Amino acid sequence: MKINYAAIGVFVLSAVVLFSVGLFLIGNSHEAFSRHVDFFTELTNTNGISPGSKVKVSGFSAGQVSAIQIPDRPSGKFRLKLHVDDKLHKLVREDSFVTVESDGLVGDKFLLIHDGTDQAQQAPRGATLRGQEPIELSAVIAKMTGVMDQANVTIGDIRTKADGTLDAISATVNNANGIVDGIRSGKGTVGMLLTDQQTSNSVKAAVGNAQQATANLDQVFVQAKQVMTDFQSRDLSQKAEDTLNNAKDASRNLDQTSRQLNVALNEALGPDRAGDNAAENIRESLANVNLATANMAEDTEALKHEFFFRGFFKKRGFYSLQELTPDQYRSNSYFESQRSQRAWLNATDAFATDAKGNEVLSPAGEQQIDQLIGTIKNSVIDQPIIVEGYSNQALAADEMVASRSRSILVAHYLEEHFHLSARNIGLMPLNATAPASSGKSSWDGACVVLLAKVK
Amino acid sequence: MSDPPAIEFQHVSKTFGNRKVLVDVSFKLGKGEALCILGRSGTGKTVTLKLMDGLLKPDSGKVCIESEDIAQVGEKDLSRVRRHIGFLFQSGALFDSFTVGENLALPLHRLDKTKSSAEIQQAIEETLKRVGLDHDKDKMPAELSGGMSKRAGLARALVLNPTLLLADEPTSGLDQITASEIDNLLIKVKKDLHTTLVIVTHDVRSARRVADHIAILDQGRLVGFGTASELEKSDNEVVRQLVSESCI
Amino acid sequence: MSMLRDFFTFIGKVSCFGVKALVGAFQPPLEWEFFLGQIEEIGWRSLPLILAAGFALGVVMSMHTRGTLVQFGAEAMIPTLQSAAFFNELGPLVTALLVAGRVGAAIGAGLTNMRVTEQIDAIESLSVDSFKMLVVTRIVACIFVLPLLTVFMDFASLAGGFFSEHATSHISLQLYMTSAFKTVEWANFIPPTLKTSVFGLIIGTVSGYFGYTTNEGSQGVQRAATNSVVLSSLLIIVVDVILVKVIFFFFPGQAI
Repeated sequence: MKINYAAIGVFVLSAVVLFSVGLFLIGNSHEAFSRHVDFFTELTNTNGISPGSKVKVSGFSAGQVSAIQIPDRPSGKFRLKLHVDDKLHKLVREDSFVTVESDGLVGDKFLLIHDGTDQAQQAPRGATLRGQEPIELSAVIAKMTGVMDQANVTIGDIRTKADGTLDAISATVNNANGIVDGIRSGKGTVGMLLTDQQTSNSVKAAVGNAQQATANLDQVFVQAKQVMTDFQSRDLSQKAEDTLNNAKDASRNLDQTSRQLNVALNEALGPDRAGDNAAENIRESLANVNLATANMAEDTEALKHEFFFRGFFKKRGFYSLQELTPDQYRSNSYFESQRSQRAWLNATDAFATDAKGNEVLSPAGEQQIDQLIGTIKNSVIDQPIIVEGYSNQALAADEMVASRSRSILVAHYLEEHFHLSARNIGLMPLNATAPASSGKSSWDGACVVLLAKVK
Repeated sequence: MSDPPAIEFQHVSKTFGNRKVLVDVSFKLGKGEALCILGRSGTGKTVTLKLMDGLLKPDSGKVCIESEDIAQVGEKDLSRVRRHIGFLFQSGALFDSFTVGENLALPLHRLDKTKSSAEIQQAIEETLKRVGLDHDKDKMPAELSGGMSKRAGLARALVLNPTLLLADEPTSGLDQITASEIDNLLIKVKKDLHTTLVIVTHDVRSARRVADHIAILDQGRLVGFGTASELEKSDNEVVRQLVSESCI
Repeated sequence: MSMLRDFFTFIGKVSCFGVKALVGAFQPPLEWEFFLGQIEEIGWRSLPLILAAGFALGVVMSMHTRGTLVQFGAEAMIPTLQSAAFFNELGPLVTALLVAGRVGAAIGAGLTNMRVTEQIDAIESLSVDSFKMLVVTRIVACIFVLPLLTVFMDFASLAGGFFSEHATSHISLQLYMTSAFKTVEWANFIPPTLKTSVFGLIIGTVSGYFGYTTNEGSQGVQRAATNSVVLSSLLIIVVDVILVKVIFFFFPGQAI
């Protein structure tokens, strides 16, 4: 038998060569023929990484997971040995960290070593790189909830401040209203009004207050904006953002107070052209207020409808003190829960009747108030105060009028005497019935409530 | 006869499935003698040959080659015995992937491991010359005619200078002239090398020319054993028919 | 009943035949010359068939996958798909089937012919173990040669795929090779290539059994050849199912 040894040689040799070429060309071959360096990382959850899973350095295929050490207790971590091409060693720094990634939506899981910073030292052989746990959806939600809670608190702060501001505006506008009404109802001519020092001062003060209020409001608004931006920048799911946007669009109602105020002032100041400067100023200021409150209202309205915050507003049960009926105030958990300090003004002691037959604060009443304010000293400046007016008269209408006027009296005194900002003082005519949390069932007179400050 | 017989069959029987091929066959053949086995097709002639070479083993009885029971000996001893046996198969049975020369070399390589390659080449050429194929050493079996194949097969059987040559129908399928050439070769071998011949054939004429003894097999039984003239006088009809020259 | 019995007898005989051959492969003396002869016969002589078939199949596969993948804009996947298909399955299977056709028939017919023309007896008369000389060498050669032929098939198909792709999209050889080998791993290449040794064992054993045990003249030759090809092809496909499962067991990453 003639054996063609050359043929056999060619056949076998070329097959072996092709086989080797195949081995060499195939992906993980580079690793077999190049130098390697081992790193370690620790993960609590391997997320489907198994020995042989790919390891990439900054996206570049670099090697594979060569071993996984299983922890000996539940709190332990899996220790993964990463077999990495030596060529990529330079990119692996001491501050490099490892995450579990997946190839596309349904692809294989692989480990990604994030390249470190230039400043950090090259990670030595056998170094243990920090493993960053993969973000699970449940974790995202948990984190989001955390953000929500934080946002809740922040919004709560803003809300309280905003409420104060709005109340202050109302008070200011009430003042202005009074003046304008005065003008209209024929208490002197425009010229008289402008030459009348007292009136002019009042107008100036009112405008100043309004400006102040606007500034405050703007500040609050900026804060709110920041919260919103912060909130949006947290990469929450698109859905949450959509909800926010929807809420924004849906709710374009102005805060009731500021709208009323605007209309009233326009009506009052528009046709008369009286007190040109003052009126213009007022109008301008109020336009600002309007804008600010509109924005504010928009955002808070949006937040109100945003499901994450619904709970918060529900808990408070009101959006502005102005919107609160006496009953709501009495039963409101927010005020009930406040560790408030109260000073009860007895009708007989604290109030007196002046020459014209109108009720005024008696010196005794003023003294009582001074005493209360004295206890909190300087912090009174930004102390939120609610003045509850009480009256137990035979007629419900009388009761209402009396309790309201009493609360106004006390509030005025607080504002003027201590130069307190009107925004910090809220009026609450309660007829005869006191809130259950106050410790009294009924009262005649007034009560100054120092609300616990919101941190 | 002080010499042990070259071949001795003692009550040999062989069955394939249900078919009794050989039934209680016994005979002896002395060294240097020529035996022709005659019989109709399928009467166990070829089986008898294969029993002699140890290719088949008897179901009962003994087949002794030079007093050795080759059915019982081990592979090594069988190989030693076969070293001295040449077997010419019916169709030559040349290995068709080998050339004629390589066919001859194979027994030398396999059974006689003492020869150098030069000696082997020499033996091959001498043997081919003896059968008249000295120019066909490098031909493939497929290129050979029937007679040439037979002669090449004979050459392969002879290449080890056997003391016993077993030939299965060496002349069948050949024309008269070629057949007598083969007969002459066998006679020459027997004379020159003092080789014991066992030839299975249908050809009575060549049997009468070559054989010292003729064995007649009929339906697995040995019905006649002796010289041609002895068998002509046999009282068995089949024996007389087969031995008579006219019966071809 | 007797058919069932015959069937089991046959299975038993073929199995024993294969085991005997495998054992024989480790028992000296080794028939080196005959083994190398079979390497030449089964390997070298099959090479043109394998290369031509692989190349053509590579072209065809590439054209088909292109037609489908273009719809999804995923032409870049063509080399990857080509190599994945051939390295994992097509290469080994088609090689085995082609060899079963060519070599199975040759072994079946060849051995039967040797039996009929008493060549096997002639070998035995030389005190040579014809089983070892003729059957063991063929089976071992099949086992050895099939992985080599599979490698040729794989690369021929890649060449065909590249040829086809180059003709249609003028892809560069380097890009073709890079994307062809990008996602293939050793586990996609080595185990499927080596599993063809089992196919080789099947081809050698089945056709060797039919060839070595048939002794029925020219009709037997024909039948042995047909039976060899049919049964070894069938067994290759059936056993492939098991082998793929086994590979997935040892390389779980390959099971998708």
